[in-house]
Amino acid sequence: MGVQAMASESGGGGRQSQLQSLSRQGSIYSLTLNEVQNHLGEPLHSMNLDELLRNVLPAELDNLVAGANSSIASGVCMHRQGSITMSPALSKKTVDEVWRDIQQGQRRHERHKMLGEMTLEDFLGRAGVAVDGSDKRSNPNIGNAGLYPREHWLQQYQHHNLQLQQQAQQTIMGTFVGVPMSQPLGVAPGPILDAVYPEDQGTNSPTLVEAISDPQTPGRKRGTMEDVTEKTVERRQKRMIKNRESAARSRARKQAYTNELENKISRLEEENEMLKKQKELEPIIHYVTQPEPKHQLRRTSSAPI
Amino acid sequence: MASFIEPLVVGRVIGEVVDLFVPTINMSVNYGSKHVNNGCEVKPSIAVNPPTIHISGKRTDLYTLVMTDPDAPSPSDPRMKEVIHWLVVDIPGGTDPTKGHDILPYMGPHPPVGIHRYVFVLFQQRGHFPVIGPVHTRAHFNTRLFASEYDLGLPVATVFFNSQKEPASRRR
Repeated sequence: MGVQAMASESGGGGRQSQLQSLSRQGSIYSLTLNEVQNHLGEPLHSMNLDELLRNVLPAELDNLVAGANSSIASGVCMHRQGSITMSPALSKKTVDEVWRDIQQGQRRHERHKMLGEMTLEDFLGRAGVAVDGSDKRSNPNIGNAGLYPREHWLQQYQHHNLQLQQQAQQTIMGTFVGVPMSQPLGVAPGPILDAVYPEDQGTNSPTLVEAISDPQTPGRKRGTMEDVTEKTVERRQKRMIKNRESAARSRARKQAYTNELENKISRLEEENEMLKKQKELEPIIHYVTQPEPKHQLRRTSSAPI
Repeated sequence: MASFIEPLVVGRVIGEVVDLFVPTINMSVNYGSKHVNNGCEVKPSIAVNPPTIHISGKRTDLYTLVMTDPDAPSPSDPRMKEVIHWLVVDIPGGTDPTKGHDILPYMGPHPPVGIHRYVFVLFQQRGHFPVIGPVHTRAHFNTRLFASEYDLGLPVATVFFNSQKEPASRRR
């Protein structure tokens, strides 16, 4: 029953047989992605394939080998055990990324206008095909689930930290990333979080840390770790604000000087024009005044030698 | 005339140091061969001595010149704003500050941190400047307040330049 979604043979025929076996498995694969999205009640776009399948597969529990259940429940591992397997790189990708890959590969062939209109099986099939070409250049996205598009790029920055945080995935579905991760992560998301949510999050982030980390680590005392995080976040925020102001001043300085020079140039050009016009009138003035001096400079011999 | 003050607005001189005004007098400031355009960079080393300033205006009118630094000690933290660098009064129109009365002698720029603006503000006096006591401290000066205190009204001319600490020269 193990179906390889990552097909090495890209021929249409090979894929067809794959997809047929997929569809035999159950109705879900023939749903379009829009329908799947409605079924899940959650936007698909920035979900990674890991999460997508995890959500999809519960509907298929009847068809799966027993081992699959535990893997879904733990949500830790990158690989799918059970009916669908895919490479770790692929599972880390979000739906969006895979879609992009598909589209790039698709250009010469058919076109699927909307991601949502594609059926799930089609999507997975194409994802499997697409992965070969794009694997090398893709930016492995760490398996973070159920997040809004805004946080997608955040993941790339935090990637080395988040590998520690897999267990936190399920609890943070649908909430903000970064801060809710347990304490070791505290330092890293600060600047990134600040960059995305400048003023408002200032007060929220420490409380989020407290709120979420509690269920995670009930045994740990509320104390030093969170204080340190708070202070670091504060300090970073202040630094960032200062930096912004400095940048604004720098821009103002530059603009002021440019402004001044431009104005000066236009004033000088005007003056130049005026002077040129005056110059044209000059010869006439000279002509009028000239005869007299000549008269005065005439030499006459006065002394007989 | 708007083109004369636009750089002052962009450089936030109008706003932080003076209010919006209409320039009516021409003032040209030169440190040696360097003519000061708004927002230009002047090294502290060439500004050690007072610049040559020429102002237009009627010979019968008297003017007051203020040179101030609104970014002291640092633009990101102007705790001492403003620091007054020069105060000359009773300058006859069409002349220069040497013909006026130097209440506070010229002090060249020496910005410790960051890039500071140095602003020359010219006011037209209503009459002779009243006798005032010596200025005790250069820090915490307020140009606007000073102008209202001595009934100087809005400026008639303003020019500013930027200056920052020069890297220390290595001497062998």
